[in-house]
Amino acid sequence: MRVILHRKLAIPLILIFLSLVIATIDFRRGIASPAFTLSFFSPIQQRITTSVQWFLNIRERVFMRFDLVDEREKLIRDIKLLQFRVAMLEEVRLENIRLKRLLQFKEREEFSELLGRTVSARVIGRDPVNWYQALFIDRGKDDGVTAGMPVINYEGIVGYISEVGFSAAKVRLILSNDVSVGAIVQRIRAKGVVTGKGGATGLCKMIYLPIDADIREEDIVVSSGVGGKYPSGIRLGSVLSVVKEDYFQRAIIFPAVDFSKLEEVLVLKEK
Amino acid sequence: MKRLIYLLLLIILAIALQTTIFAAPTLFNVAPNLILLLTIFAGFHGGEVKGSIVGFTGGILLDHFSVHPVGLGAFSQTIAGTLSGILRSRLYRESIFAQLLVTFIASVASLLSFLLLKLVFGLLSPITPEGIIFPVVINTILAPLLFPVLRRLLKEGDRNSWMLDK
Repeated sequence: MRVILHRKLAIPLILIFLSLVIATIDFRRGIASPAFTLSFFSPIQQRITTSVQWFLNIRERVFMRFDLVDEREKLIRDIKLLQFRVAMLEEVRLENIRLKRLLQFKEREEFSELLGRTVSARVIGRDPVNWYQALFIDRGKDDGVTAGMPVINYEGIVGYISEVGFSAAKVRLILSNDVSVGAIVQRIRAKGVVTGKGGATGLCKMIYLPIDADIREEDIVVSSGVGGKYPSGIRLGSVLSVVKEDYFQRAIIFPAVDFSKLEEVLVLKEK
Repeated sequence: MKRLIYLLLLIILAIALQTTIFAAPTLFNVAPNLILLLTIFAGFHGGEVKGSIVGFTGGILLDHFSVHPVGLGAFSQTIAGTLSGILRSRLYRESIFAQLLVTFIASVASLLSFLLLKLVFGLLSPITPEGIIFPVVINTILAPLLFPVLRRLLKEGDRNSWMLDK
């Protein structure tokens, strides 16, 4: 009886031991890139995501009809308001160019340059264990994507490419507490570092803020460009609350990107 | 060979669904763990060896889609598969209560072993009691709904299913 029991438990015990060995090796040295795994699953994930999206779109279209009239009127009002703002901003832009020329600054045209080196990608999957920490996109080595490239969308910074397959890649999100981005509070130019708050909060925190900085709720936080990984001036989020510590201040940041509705992202290729 | 391919396809499908539709926290900020349920099913109907093999294979594949070190999920899933296999001999398998009980115990063991290993590696982030209770409750509720489907699926796909007792 005891021999049978031992025999039955031999394989499970070996597998448990093997898992521990693999985990230790991966933790210490990192196992070879899971390019094959990511690439193998990406077409299946793509199919599932597309099918779900198709179904949701149909459902949305059916329900949307009822709200279309109100929505249309609201959009017309918004367009008029935005046209007015664009006209004003155009004036400011032209004034900016004039002043820069006057001061003999080179025009950077940073954002148009940024857009020129982006690769658009679809979100095809999420980390099933840590939903707020990683996602998967349908672009990989074949599209020129490499590890370390920043990932953004029109709302702000999403994260960076951590692992690359041939046709898929893993993106570590800024909500992850081991991702850090050099940041600046836009209104007062106070510098710090934005990192994930951790857990399933869906929030970030900004640390190393100067103790005397006048940081207020709803202040906008953008990337500072320090560190070189992320370009400067991309939105990270807004301040929710501030706490004073011994030598620095720490702010809780509400991310600019809505991670729950993320469907498409842009990968910034190197210059 | 056919039965192994069938099982592998089921694991691949479960992983694909887990990383897409079931990745987002839906109910009580958690998502059902399909691989864990498949592992518990394998252990419950096939014994500790089959449970541990399904748990290890599913866990190691799923670990590649997560930010934690590869092996952590495999460790906890293998424990769940083994435990459900050990428990099955003491219970009447057709009873819903037995399915609920085994899923509950195996889910708790899987979650605690996962957290323990994260603690050992210094990767444990703050966790609330709800973060432990809700995933276990969701998995336990889903088990009696999913198990008959899996049983039927495996029986229809292969009359000599590797995962089901003759």
